[in-house]
Amino acid sequence: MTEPFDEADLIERSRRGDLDAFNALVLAHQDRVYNLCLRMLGSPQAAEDAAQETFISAYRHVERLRGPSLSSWLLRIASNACVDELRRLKRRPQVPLGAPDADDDAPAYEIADPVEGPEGLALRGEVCDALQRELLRLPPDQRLAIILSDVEGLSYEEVAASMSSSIGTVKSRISRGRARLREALRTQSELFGDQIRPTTKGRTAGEED
Amino acid sequence: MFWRQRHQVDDATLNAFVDGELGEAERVRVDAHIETCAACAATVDELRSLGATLSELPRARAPRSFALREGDVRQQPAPRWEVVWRRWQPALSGVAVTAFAAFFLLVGVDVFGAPSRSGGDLLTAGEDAEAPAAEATGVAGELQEPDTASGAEADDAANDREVPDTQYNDGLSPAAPTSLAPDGNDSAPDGEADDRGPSGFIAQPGSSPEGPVPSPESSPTTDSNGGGGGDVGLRVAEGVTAAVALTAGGSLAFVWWRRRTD
Repeated sequence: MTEPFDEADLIERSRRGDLDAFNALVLAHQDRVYNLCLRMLGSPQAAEDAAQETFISAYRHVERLRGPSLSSWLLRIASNACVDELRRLKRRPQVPLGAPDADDDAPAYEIADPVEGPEGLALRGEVCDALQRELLRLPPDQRLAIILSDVEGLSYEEVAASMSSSIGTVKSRISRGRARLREALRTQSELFGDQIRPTTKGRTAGEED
Repeated sequence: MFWRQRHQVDDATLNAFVDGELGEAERVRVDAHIETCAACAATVDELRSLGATLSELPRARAPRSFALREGDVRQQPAPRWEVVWRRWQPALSGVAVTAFAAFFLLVGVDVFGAPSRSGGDLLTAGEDAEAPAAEATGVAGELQEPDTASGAEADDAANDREVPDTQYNDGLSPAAPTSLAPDGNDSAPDGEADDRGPSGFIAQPGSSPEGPVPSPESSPTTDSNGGGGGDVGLRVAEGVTAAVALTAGGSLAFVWWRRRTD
């Protein structure tokens, strides 16, 4: 691609059936789509399938694309592809990301202030693995809401649009999903002692009610 | 678990607070609340840490290019079946349902009508009282209904009893079919009774399938001796409707299956 990246023009050409223009859009967005699928599905192979399905489906319905919201439109299609893929995967056992046994080596670490260096990276990797495992245990709708909101950084409104649901539903899914993640991480922190607990950053704590 | 306790601020609101999704007034209220509530303050801290960790999850990169090739988009089997399905599903469903209904009605006429007819033949056709009783509406309904009508019109008590009485007996013995005839006598204007009597039950199987049905239907009414021609007609009609029903149902199932598998 020698010409400057003009998304609106590429979208317009894609709508007229220009596959090269569409593929330029694919290359620009495929990392984000794949990342969503991987977080959602937990398996690289399944994520690859869902991502490919996303772009095929997007091309088939490219005439429906209007306005500048290509990214959220693609995430919406990817969300649907993930839900379809999950349905297909239900018949097969799911392989979670990372090592399932996190308690064989449990040094102290801080989430809010990660230790640098190779050891710190490994520790952070462990937290990420633990989180990813817990994510995969959430019901799909809560998982999707949290990934779209916390991993992809969408607003509640955008998440609601991606999931074809109301903002109220999204609110409650995010809240319930995070409660389960916190609970699971707390359980894990009890194994490690206090080290996984987040710092309170000097917040003044009043009395509990 | 303390965060599940009900405060003035619920869990979803704390989440929205952390996410910056609250309106200004609500945000100020929650801000003031967590200054005095350790539990909510801890929840907010926990949510912030969780959010930060989730947003820092390493971002995966696509393992390969997902750019589409001509072949990926040219075959497009799913939309084709989608189109086929959308276009033909209602029509096929209608044809299948109608043909199945017609088939079972014809079978019903065949099973309940034909054997009794042959039975009537064996018992000699002279027994007017029993043969129409068994044949139900086919012969008895159409031939006798005008009599009841005229009887009722005359308002002659004696006539009224004489003519329909045989019908009541007929109507009670074979159960369902002639139940329409007493209805017509008991209530309702006679014109209506006339229409309903024969058409309500017998005209249905005759009218729903296309061609061959009226002839087998009319033949048993005209001939009380030879039911053979009518039986063949019935069989043909049954075969045709069964074939139509199976074809429509089968193609419906096939299109549905192709659409699902694509």
